[in-house]
Amino acid sequence: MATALIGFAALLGLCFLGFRVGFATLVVGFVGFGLQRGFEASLAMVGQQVLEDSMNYNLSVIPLFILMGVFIVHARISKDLYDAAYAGLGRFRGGLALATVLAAGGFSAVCGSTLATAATMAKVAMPPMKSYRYSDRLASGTIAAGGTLGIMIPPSVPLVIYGLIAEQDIGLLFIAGILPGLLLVTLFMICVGIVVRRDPLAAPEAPPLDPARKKEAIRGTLPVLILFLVVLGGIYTGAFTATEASGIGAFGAAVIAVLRGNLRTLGEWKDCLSDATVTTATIFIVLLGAIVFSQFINLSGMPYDLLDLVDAWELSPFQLVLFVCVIAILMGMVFEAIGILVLLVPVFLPALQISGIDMIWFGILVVLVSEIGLITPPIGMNVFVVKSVLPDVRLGAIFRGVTPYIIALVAGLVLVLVFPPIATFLPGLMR
Amino acid sequence: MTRPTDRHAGAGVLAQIVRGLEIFSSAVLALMMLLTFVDVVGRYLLGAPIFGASEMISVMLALVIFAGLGIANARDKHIVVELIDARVRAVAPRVYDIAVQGLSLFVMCLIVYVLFEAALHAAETNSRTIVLEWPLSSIFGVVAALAALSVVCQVLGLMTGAGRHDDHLEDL
Repeated sequence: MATALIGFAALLGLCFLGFRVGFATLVVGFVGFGLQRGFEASLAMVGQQVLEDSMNYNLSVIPLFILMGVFIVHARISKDLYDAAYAGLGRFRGGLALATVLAAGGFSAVCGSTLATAATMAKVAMPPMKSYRYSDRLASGTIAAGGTLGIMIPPSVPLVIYGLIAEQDIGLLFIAGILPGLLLVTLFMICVGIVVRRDPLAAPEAPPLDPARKKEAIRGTLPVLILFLVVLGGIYTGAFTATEASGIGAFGAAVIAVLRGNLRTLGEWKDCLSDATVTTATIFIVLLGAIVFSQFINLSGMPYDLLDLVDAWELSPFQLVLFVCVIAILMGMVFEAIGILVLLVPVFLPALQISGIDMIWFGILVVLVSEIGLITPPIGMNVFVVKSVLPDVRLGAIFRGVTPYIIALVAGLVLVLVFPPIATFLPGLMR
Repeated sequence: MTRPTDRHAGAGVLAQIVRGLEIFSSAVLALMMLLTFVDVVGRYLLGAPIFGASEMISVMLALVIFAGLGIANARDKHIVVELIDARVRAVAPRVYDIAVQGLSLFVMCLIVYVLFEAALHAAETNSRTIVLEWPLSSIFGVVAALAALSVVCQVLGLMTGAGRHDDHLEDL
């Protein structure tokens, strides 16, 4: 246990000092393993892990879903999504904010990136909210929180990474994310309703959408809906694997972009493809580092020492999950989703598995927790993204704006904790 | 210290390598997408999936990762926890940069070494992929060469200042 704790301390120290997370994780894993088993064995282990994982067919889902998201952003579909959502929700008080939540959920379903969702929605949803004098707090907070839906609603890169670390079926994880994703969208909408009821001035009334524009917007969102249904429906019915779904999704997204008048030049294609490639590489270097690090942690015996501790403390499976969630919430204040998954899951994996925890349910919980971390201080990445797109809005206003949504996320976490079928019902139908 | 003329020449070389890597990785990723799509369509509509498609996709994944790593290294687009790093760097920027980039370089060299070792070992044992029987030594060799190129990009990126300190990929 002491060796592993020193390793963790070294890794945290390097990360806080600004060393690149992937490289720091790999080097600590390499050195830790080498000190225990010799550096020749450590080199062999690194070589094996790097090759195995960089040529793992199941992981090709990562670049392909990233590409799908890049194409969707490039298709400039967000305005149609937003207007279509407003067409349905505009009659309610706070309709523009409600539409922001729904559009962010819809965009997440075909994009999969929290950053892209928050940045895109900031550009699309802020101007109308500003022009109808919505408060900065409500507007920017809703956008930042809406962006977090990207990592729960499938396709989701963090769910893929969790699947790899915990050796869980990625397709099942995606399907498991649907109901919690919808639950969060609902909770966020309730949140808007409560905020607007408490402070009606935060969301003055806005006129309904022009009928012609309404028709056009709904027509514009149909291809996205179809793409989502094909990708998730294909996984759900077993027609294709998650990897195949990602290829179909990326291809479909490219077709949508072309049909909408984008991706018409080689330069545009190169920009999108190269963008997806760089994101893939940066994710993989963290992933490779994590796998090497987890080899060191396993060798140190820490996961089994933790198992003994769980026995000694007589923790029930539920208490164990609760304990891990609390640690994840604390980690979420500093680390983003992948960092939490990489550092936390391998350590607690044996204890969770032996306690008979449903690892699909746990995966959803841990991703939900990391979602909270995206909008909590001191490092709420989505808050910073919204701030960078909307420099006129004060950071404090955005952080205050996301507070009700943090409560909604915690409520969502409690609901999924207390009612596991929210996450396990749909995958259960597939098993 | 890097002289301005060296820096200018280095920037030119780096730009060319990055452009080459962008074109290569874009082509491979596009092919990967098409192959996956055609494989599924072939299976359902024509009853004939592409032979060895999953093996080809696995190889392409490695090519995409290591070609992309070259671009990411050149621009220092890696995930960083930006909490106190700026304050620490302010104390001794040069020492800080050498330490941070030195560790990244060390890890990249380690990866290049293990990949070349794997390529040599595969050549000695004449290992091949299971379905298509492609020589693993060539595949590992190309991947190792791409990884080595990414080290070159990293060094040139440092020399020319291509990777700005405030421009990291923070989240996904």
